[in-house]
Parts: sequence; C-alpha cells; structure tokens
Amino acid sequence: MSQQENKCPVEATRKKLIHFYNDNSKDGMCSKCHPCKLGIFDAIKILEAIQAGNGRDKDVVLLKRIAADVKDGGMCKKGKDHADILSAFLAASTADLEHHIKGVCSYRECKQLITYEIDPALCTVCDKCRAACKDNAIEGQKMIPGKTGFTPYRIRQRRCTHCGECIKVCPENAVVIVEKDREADQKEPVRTLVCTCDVSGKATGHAPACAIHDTVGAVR
Amino acid sequence: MTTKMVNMVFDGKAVSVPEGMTLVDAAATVGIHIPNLCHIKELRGVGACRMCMVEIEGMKAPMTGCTTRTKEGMKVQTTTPKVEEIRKFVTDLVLSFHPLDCMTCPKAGACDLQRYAADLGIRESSFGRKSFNYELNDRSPFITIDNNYCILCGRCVRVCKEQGTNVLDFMGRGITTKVSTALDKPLHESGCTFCGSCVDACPVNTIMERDRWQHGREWDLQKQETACTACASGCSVVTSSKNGKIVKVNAKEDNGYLCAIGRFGFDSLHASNRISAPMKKQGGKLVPTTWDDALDAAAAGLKSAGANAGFIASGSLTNEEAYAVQSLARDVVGSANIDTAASSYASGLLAALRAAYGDNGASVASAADIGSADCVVVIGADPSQKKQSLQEVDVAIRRRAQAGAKVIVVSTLKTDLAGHQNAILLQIKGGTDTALLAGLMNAAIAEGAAPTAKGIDGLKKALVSVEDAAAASGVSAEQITLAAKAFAAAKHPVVVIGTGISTNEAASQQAVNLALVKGAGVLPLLLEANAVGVMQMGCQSDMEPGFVKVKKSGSGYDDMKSGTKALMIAGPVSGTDFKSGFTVVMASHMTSLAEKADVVLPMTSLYERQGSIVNIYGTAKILTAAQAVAGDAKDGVEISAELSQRISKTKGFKAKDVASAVKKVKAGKLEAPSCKPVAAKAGQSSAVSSSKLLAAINAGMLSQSGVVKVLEVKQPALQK
Repeated sequence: MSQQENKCPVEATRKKLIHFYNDNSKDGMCSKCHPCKLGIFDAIKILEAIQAGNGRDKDVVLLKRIAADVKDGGMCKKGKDHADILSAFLAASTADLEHHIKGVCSYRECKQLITYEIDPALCTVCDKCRAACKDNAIEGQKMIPGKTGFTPYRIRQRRCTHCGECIKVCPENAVVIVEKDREADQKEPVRTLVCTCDVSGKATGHAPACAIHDTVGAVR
Repeated sequence: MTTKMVNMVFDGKAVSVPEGMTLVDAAATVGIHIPNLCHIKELRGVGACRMCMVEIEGMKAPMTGCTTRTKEGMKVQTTTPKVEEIRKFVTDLVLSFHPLDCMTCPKAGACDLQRYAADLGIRESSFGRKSFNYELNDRSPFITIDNNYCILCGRCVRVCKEQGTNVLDFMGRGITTKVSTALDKPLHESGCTFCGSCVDACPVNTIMERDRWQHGREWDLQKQETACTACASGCSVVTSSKNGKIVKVNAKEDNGYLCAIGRFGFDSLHASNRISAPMKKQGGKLVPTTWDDALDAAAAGLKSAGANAGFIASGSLTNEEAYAVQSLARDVVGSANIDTAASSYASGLLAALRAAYGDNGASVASAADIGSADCVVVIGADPSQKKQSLQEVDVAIRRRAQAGAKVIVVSTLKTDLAGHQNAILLQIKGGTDTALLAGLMNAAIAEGAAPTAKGIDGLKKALVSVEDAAAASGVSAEQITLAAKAFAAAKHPVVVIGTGISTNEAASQQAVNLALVKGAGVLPLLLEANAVGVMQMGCQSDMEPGFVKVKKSGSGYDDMKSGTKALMIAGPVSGTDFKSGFTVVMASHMTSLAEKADVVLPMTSLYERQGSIVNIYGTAKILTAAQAVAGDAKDGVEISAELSQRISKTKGFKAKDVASAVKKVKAGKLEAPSCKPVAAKAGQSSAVSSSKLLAAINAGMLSQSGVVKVLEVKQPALQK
C-alpha cells in the first residue's frame, strides 16, 4: 500500500510534507527559517489529527494560513514549493477535507477512519486470510469435512493494523473496508482512572486530588 | 574611517543612514524598531526568524531586514498588512511550543518574545500546544540552559562562533532542534570560557545566569552604567542591583563582549578576604583600627621619610585617584619617587613609543581603530580567552578576522590567535624579533608599502633581505612574503605590541617601525585598566601630569623594589617583594603584599568605584558606583586627601578639588612619527607572560571569587 500512489489527497499531502520534513538530503528541509520549520511541522500535525478522526472546523483556516504565510515568509524555494503543494491541495480538495474532518475517508485509505470487516455472505472459510495476517487479528476455524464444524471468520478490531494483507489473499473479495462507525465509538468511551497524585510517600500538598486517591495518599 | 551616508525613506520618513548597513540596524539609528528574534547588532544576519520582513518599493516579495543592506534611494515600509501577518504567524508558531510562564519568568520585561506577542496582540497560540520535556541543564556553573524555552533563534550559537569560543551549536533538526554543546557535555567540560555572551544574546530565558531565579525581576532592578576595571579593556557594563546589591552584570552594547571576571566576578565584592576596616601592625600582627589612627600612622611614616618616600600607583587606579596620589607624592610629601608598574613590564615599549611619537607616545592607541582594521599584526602578545588574559582584545581581533581581516602573529609560541583560519603564524626563535621584522618590512616595501615617516631612509638602510631574516628567525621565506603581501595590501592595518617584547627596547622599536612603514595604528597592550591614564596623570618617575618631562626624575618602579625608607602602594600591583622600612598599602582585598604592610587602608573595588579611566584603546570611560561600599572602605581620592591634610595643613588638598584638577590635565597631540633604525641582530629578550602578570595583579581581588575556581578546572581535551 505504501508503495502505491495514494488516491486520498489528505494522505498524499501528508506524506509529501512528512517526506520533505524528514529528508536529510539537500532536497529536504534545511531547518533554518521559522515559518517553514515550524509551519510545515504544524501542518503535518493538523493533517495527522484530521486523519486520526480528531478534525476540527478551524483546521481548514489554520492550514490555509500556513500555506499562505510559508509562501510569503519562507526563505527558500524548497519551502515555498511545499507551501504551494499545501495550497493546491486546499484549493482542489475542499470537499474531501471536509469529509475527513467529519470522520469519513471516502477513498478508504486513512487507516484510523476505516475498519476491515469480513462479509459472511461471501466468505468461503478458506483460512487464507488467517494465515496471511501478521497480527493474529483474524479469528475463525476452517471446516474440515467430516471432522469438524467451523467457526465464522471475523476480524478483531483491536488487533487489526489495516495493513491490507488479507485483502490481497482473499479469493472471494470477502474482506471489505467500511467507514468507522464513529457514533458507536462514542457511545462507550473507554475511561481509565489515572493516578495524578504521588502515592509513593511524598504527599506534595499542592497536587490536585486524583480520581483514585485523596491528597494524603489514602485510597478513596 | 568615515562611512558614506545614503538617503533612504523609512515609513515615509526621509532619513540619512550609513551605506551597507543592515536595514534593522539602520532603522534603529533613526528610531524605528523592526521586530526581530535572531538578529544581533552588527553581526551578519541569517534571516532565520523572518520577523524582520519589510516591504521595499520595487521588490515583488517582502525582504528580510537583517540581510538586506542599505542602498541609495531605497524606500522601505516596515509595517504593512502583509509583513504584519508574517510576524503574527511566526510569533503564533513560536508561542505554540514556548511555555507561557511569564508570571514567574525572571526574563519577563526584557523578553523579546513577550514584547512582540504583546505588540501583535497574541494571547495564546492558535496552533496545537507542543512540549518536548527537555531536561534542565544546570550541570554547569554560572549558566543554565533550559531548552524547553528555546525559540531556536540561534543568537547564542552565532555569538559563540563569532568570538571564537565555538562551544554551542544546534543538535538535531526541525522543531526538535536543541542548543547544546558537543556530546551534550556540561559547559565547563566543553571549552567554555564563561564569558556569558550567550546570556546577553538570548532573547528569552533559555540561557540565563544561574542565580537569577527569584532574585528580582527586570523592573525591580536598578540599572547603572559603569566600566569594569579588572583588565586593560575596561569594558562598559550595565549592572543591575536589587536592594543595593548587584545581582547581575551585562555588557552595555548589544554585541558587546564581557569576560567571566567582568560578568560573574562581582561576588569578590563580598569575598571573605575583603578588607573591611583600616589595619595597623601591632606586635608583628595586623589589627583592625580606626581610620584616624591608621591615617595618622601612615602620614607620620611618609612625612618622616620626606623626599626618600616612594609611591607606587597601580595602573588600575582611576584618573582621579592617580592624580591624588601623584599630588600627595610631589606636592605634599615632596618626593619625586613615583611610578607605575607599566614602567617596569613595558619599559622598552614606552621608550620606543616616546622615541617615535614624542612624549605623548603612551597614548598612541587612540589613533588605532581595531574595530575597522583589515590586517592585525600581533607581535609578542598572546591575548587569549582560554588563558584569561586580555580576553576582550582576543575577541576584538577574532571578530575582525571573522570578517575577513588577516592576522599576522609574530611569536615564539603557537598562540591561540594563530589557530584562526585567517591567521598567518610567523613562529620565530627566541630573541630574533628584530631580524624577522626587518625582513618583513623589506618585503612589505617591495610589495608596495610606501612609507612617509621621518627617518625612513635611515631605516631602509638597516633592513635585511627576506632570506637573511628567514635564516636568522627560522621562519620560511615564503611565509614572510605571504605576511608582507597581506600587510602591504591592507588599508587600515593595526600593529599590536604585547608584553612578550615590551621590556626589550630594540624589539619594541622595530615593531613601531613596522607600523610606520605602512602608517598603521599602534596598540600597545598594557595590562591594567587605566595604565595609560595613570601615566597621563603623572604617575611616572620622569613625567608630570599631561606627559610633561620633569627636570629631575626620581627613582622608578624597579629601583623602589630594592629598598626605600617609606613606601606607599596604591591599588593592586603584581609585585610582592618590596623592601621598605615602612609600608602603607591601599588595597581592597587582602594580598600577600598587604599582609606584610605596616598600615593597610581599605579602598573601593570593581563596581563600587567612581571616577574616569582611559582604556587600552584610548577611550575615556566613566565609572559610577553601582553598589554601596562594603565595610569601612573609602575611595582612593578621599584616602589620599586625608593623608595630605595630615602631612601638611598648608599643602594638603581636598578630595572635591581633585576632579577639577584632573579635567585640566590635557595630553598634547602626538608628534609626527619618526623611525629609528634598529640593528637587525639577534638579542635575547626577556618575555613577560601577560596572563601570569594579570593573574598576579588581580590575585587579591579574585582569590575568593567563584570565577577563578571554575576557570582553574583543567579542561579535558576533546578526543579527535
């Protein structure tokens, strides 16, 4: 997947900027002037946040500002060229960006916005996908006629890294990419209790009471 | 050197500014501030922060003010919506990873970032907050580096590089760049000389004095301009004190240099060896006593010696103090035996300067402008930041070298300056200075130097060929020719003559001749803060105030060492072996010399002093007391005046009359220079180490100071 051309403009732009930012050769960022060094870093961070499903409406404004000001204020052509890449993306893919901010990647490439699922109607229980999965994310049992029954194949979402190997090997195209059900995610938010106070003995006094302990270290 | 002025328009205001200056500096001269985070005055701009963007008529895009130079007819707009937006954008981005700790930050009020954020109206960053959780680097003495606050402007890196210490650099790239030393070692293990230029350069509070936290914020501090008197450079400083106590010292100019002693040595004012009360010897031991008692004893001793009394004025005294001591000796006590240490360690040099420039020869440095020199010849001198001798001179020469000037080093050793890429080292055998310089002059004349000084024909006859000079001195002929070419091609050469040859008259004379061959400026490297001023005030055995020759000269510094009936030593001197029947010492700190004295009179030190001095470059500087005097110590003028009153009611003078008398002393103009041929033969010269001599002079003051303890730590060499 990584070798292929990305169809999703958000993913493609992010990759171009990250490549420029991390490139140590003479074609990469020289790390001298502030607008380019800091602005492109922030553009990458904003795109990453959008792709992770944490997009905000004001991100479009910020990206537009970065594109315009790096172009005006940048020191060299390399930086200005990448500002142009960003502004060209913003001009051409306004609708795509808005979709992403809402949490939908219509190209189904932004890994955090999609899930892989196995369509039980198409699945022939051939076990190829389970063998190909590097992350042991697919569970199920192949039917051996006369010996066993079978367990339907499904993908354990916690383990899936969206690497795409199962799609490659499935002869029936039974592995499908669906957009993540964001509302379902939000129904049961995962909450962990985090201890913010110092229970190792040094009660600092000014530390705020945490969810587990009171300020003097006793369990609530 | 006069600079050409050009007519320009700044924000619709027609102004006249020097040509070739950066726009930021030029705008500052007419009172317009162009915001910038990475520019340092008079240093080459890099255009990194892009805060100094301005719009210039005829240019398509905004230009950076720190890299664009002034030109005739340029029209500059410093605040347009376009450049304002770029400034806001950069400030916004920088604030996204700079902790917003202004309520406790010691730099608040003097912070550039805070100022621009306020000017541009940015409360907090609109971009995502980032923090990198760097560890606070407080492993080094005097200076802490907190990279969490760093805005990556690079001022510290450039100022460190520019002056040749080259300790700090960037590590990593992008937003995670970190200012650090090689291998991330503590500063004292990486060759740092603790000059603290990076502290002055830092626009935020990343690099700071170690004890600034909760020691007063910018608006609590009383600022006072004065000058440091620890060495000959007499650097201008600004002290900041809170509740009458100095908390920090900074260089006065934006890109000014201040060494570790000037910046961090003020703890010596409260050192344990500070003399807080007058002392008198009773039963072989010094015991504290009252001023009246001590002054009476001192006056009685000096009066009884009369014309046989000796007076030694330290070169660190102010003009006023020197004049008062001189007046006490000549007018009140009636003794002609008054001298200063320069007459001893620079005897040959002073004689040579007098022969070339007349009686005012010692003040020759005022005609040499090292700030615009394009070739510096360093003869017998080793100004060095690492060896703690005349650090400011080293920096001044290195800054010129960095700007492309050639540095020709004539020395028996490979000095620190000779390591610079623009340096040409002529490493001679001991005592062959005259021969080498004769060859160098010959080559320079052959390369096109056209000397006009008096007696040049006689000098030309005494010169030797380059080959002979090479054979005598052990330097290759090519190297001499190379140096001669650089010297002959220079427009503003300066010849620096140091203590390596200053006791030898022939070698010093030859060095002065070299300057006269090209009409170069001469900078004699005397060591004490006011060495020239003290001589001008008449503290020489054969000169009265204003460089007037006396009819009958008294005994000099070296003569007085062998024995006098009564001796008064005013201020810190290097010698400890004075033989005298009765010794009065005016000192600020306890030294081995003061321990042997019969009467010790405490005087003011460093930033408590007031008066005027003339530094090594011939610039007059005003000292103003920045802190209340510790203990019972008094100003040298007051002590001398009280002594004079006690010795003679009729001839005695008053402290308040000294300043007006000093103003009347005027040095005459330098005479037209004349050459004096010197035989180009090898002669053994006794070299004086300037670093050892300076250390001896300041030994009393600095022996308890943290500065010396840190600098004495042996620096491990970096592995290659």
